[in-house]
Amino acid sequence: MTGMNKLYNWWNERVDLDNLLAFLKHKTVPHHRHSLWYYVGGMCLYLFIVQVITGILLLLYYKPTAEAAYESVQYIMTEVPFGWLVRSIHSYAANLFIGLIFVHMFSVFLMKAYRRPRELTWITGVLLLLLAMGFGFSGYLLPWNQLAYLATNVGTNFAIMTPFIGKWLLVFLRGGTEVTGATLTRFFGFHVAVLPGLTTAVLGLHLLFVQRLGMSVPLSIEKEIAEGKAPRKEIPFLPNFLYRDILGWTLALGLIVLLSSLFPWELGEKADILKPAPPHVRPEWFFVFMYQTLKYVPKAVGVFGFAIAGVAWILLPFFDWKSNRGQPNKLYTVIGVFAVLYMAALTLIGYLAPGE
Amino acid sequence: MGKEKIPRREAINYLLGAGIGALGVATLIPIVKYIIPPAASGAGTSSVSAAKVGELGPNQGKIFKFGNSPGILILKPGGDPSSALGYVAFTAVCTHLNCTVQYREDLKEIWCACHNGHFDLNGKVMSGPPPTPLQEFRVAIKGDEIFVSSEET
Amino acid sequence: MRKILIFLNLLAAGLSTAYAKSSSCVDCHLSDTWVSDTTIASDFISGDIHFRMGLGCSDCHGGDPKRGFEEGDPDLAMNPAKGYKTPPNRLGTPEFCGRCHSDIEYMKRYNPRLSTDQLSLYRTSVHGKQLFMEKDTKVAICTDCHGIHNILPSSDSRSLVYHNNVPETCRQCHGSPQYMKGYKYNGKQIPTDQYEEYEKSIHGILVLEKGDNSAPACNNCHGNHGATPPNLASVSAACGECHAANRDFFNASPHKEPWKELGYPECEQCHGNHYIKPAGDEMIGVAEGALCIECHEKGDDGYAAAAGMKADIDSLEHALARAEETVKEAEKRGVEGGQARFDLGAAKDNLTRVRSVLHTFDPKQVSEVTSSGIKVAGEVEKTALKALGDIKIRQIGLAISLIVVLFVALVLWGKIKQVDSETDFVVRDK
Repeated sequence: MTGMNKLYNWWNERVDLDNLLAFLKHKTVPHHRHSLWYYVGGMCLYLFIVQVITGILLLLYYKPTAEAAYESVQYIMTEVPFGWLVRSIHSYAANLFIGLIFVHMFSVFLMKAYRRPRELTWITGVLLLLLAMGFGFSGYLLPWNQLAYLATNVGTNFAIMTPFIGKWLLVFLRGGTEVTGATLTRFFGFHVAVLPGLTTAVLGLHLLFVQRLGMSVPLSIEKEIAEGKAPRKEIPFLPNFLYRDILGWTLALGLIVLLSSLFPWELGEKADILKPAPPHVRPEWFFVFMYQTLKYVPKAVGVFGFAIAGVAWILLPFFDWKSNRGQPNKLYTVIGVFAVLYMAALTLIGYLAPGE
Repeated sequence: MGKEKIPRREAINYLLGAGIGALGVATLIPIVKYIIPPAASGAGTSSVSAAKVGELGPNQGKIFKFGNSPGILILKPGGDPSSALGYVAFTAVCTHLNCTVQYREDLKEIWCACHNGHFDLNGKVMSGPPPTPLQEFRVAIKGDEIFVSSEET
Repeated sequence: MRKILIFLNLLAAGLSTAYAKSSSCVDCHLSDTWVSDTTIASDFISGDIHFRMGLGCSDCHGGDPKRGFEEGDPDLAMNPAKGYKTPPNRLGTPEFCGRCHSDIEYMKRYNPRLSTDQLSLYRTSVHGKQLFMEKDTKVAICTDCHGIHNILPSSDSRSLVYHNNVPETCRQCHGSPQYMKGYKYNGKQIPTDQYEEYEKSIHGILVLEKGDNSAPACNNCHGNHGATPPNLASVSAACGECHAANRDFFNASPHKEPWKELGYPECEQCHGNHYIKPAGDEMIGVAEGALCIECHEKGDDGYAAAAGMKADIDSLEHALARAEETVKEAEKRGVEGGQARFDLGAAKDNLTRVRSVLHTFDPKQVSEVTSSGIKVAGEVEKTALKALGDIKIRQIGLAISLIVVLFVALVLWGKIKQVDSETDFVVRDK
């Protein structure tokens, strides 16, 4: 017996590799004109892993106190070999990660992939989006620069609007009534322990469902196949689909490294609690559409509106009976397109409008 | 050329292996270099190694870098170089107009050349325009290094 | 309101009876059945330093403090046989205070640190000379500045002679054109705008707005009890109390002797006396608005020196600004770890120092300071540029890794094509 065989048998006896390999060998992925979207989810997973790795590396040098945070990031950027690269990759991949989650979510929504029996995949997916935004929000503060400090101030302020527990929630988030070094340490705890723990659990479920149920095929394609207008095509996961995944991941890595090298992520100015806030404070880009909306409607209307919209968004799949029956649902398509356009428009306005 | 014609499949596999190997190396090298701690001391302006024991003679001072601003370490006249009690350390930023102060061995005082400010070895203003004393740092000796820190006790 | 104040004052009096001798003077003078103005006594017992030291009315005014109030007879208290004298008029006040305050043995018992030369100094001052020789009672006497029955030590921030309150106190007379009318110095009417001038000055802003008592008030330059217009041996001695380096440089400079002959008041000649602006680099040089060309003309040595010194200072500022810009850029891009910023601070010291050294009016000394500053600034800029240059190295590393990435991508593409060609995608079984 060769060495590889011996190794295989050792593990197989203990972990039942045969079963796993059999599953993987037989796993196939539908192949049709919309199947390019199938790669986006895997790309999100890849970027998450990139974040975990670069995050752990950053943890080796980062100091989560108001006195040392900014300096420690400066240290990483200027004294640690390739520190600038690790930190910039972490920042760019974070934004790409959240951006792709939105793409993934909307592509799933517009293709109605959330329909029966994949409702739980959808719910865990939206939860993952919220967790990712939590990562983004908490991580943004960690370099403790002036921009992040102000954005956190503005962002956490909205916690007060939660009914009944608003004040408590604000104090819980900030580690006090104001944004201080205590907030920083707390956000650090969220960012490196709480959120990773929760995400691992929810992500595990999400992937479990995906493996169990396979990829959903859009209704239009199903119809074509049923009517005999096109053959059903599937490609093997191993190795065809996986090679394609890896190709995408490689190009993504290249893009991130390119951006990191040409435009290293900036340090900004160290946070100064006593400095008065400039007029144009903005949260990170993925919150801008909400922030901008709140400039046009009364705060209470805006905050509750978004809360209700969020809950509705999670539950919408349960009410899409048409898709469950295999029929096209134009209303939901309109809702989806509207959501995308609204978010895009408000984000653009938030950045381009004069006096903003 | 006399070589066997390499089947295309093996060629691609070979290239793929080589390419991914190169990518792996290109990824691992920065990670490994990153993980090895650099020579420069860590970030954070609260504690810094200012000098080695024996570097200063009695009644001598040294300017060192404390974060982004200068500090001054002095071995007092008659001070024991191996004990932290023999040293004093202050910020070297004069409290008048932020010039860098220096140690005057003849006067046994800290002196600012810009407007003739004098500070004693407790950092107190003895004469001249500085309005407040120099912020004092704590001195500790670990091994053969003299550490200066701005933390409260 | 008055009654509440009186009650509180009585309370304080009651509490401080341990300190003071019991006194029928205070009892009468606090009661408005006996006197019209009870503030004299209420002020006295509420914090006057003499009262706190255990002295009573009779220690200054004489009389019998034990009798008079209960009997209802003031003459028992204000009894000449017991030493009572009517309070002095303005002419007699300095010597009245001087009875104790010039008596070394007496004062030693109360405050050994307090000097006892106030009266003798006062006699030499303009106020003193006017009072004693011209019998002019308009001038300031002890009580005008210190108060009468509510005297506080000068270290107490409520005192009229607390350092930061001094300008306002002097202003009471010296700020009033009507009051000061007719008073001349060197043949000219004494101006009354000193406070307004001082208020705008760098010293005035520090004292009056920022409460910084390390900056000078009127008495720091003019003296306290011996107050005289600054006929000091030299003006530079007054300013040099704090600005010692500038004084020393000036005294060694080529301006010292000629200005003495010309009667120019040294520091004041360029910096003014009451309205001292924050000094700026535009004061030196040969450009319009510079002070040097008020005396020096093109062609003379002074003109050349002024031009040279200004040029050197400008070069240093320019070098520092450039270095600052580069360091800032490096910091922004995240390639500056603090060393350049640290060194730049040292170079900036040179700029602060040269502004002092220029009082030597010696281009050589100025250029010594500026050139070393320029050198350091240059090195800082080099360090920062090098850090920025590291960015180029990174871009090369980037190019190499991108080539590897693209290579792998290409090969993967080929591999995909290969495995695809061996696979049938069409699902044939149900």
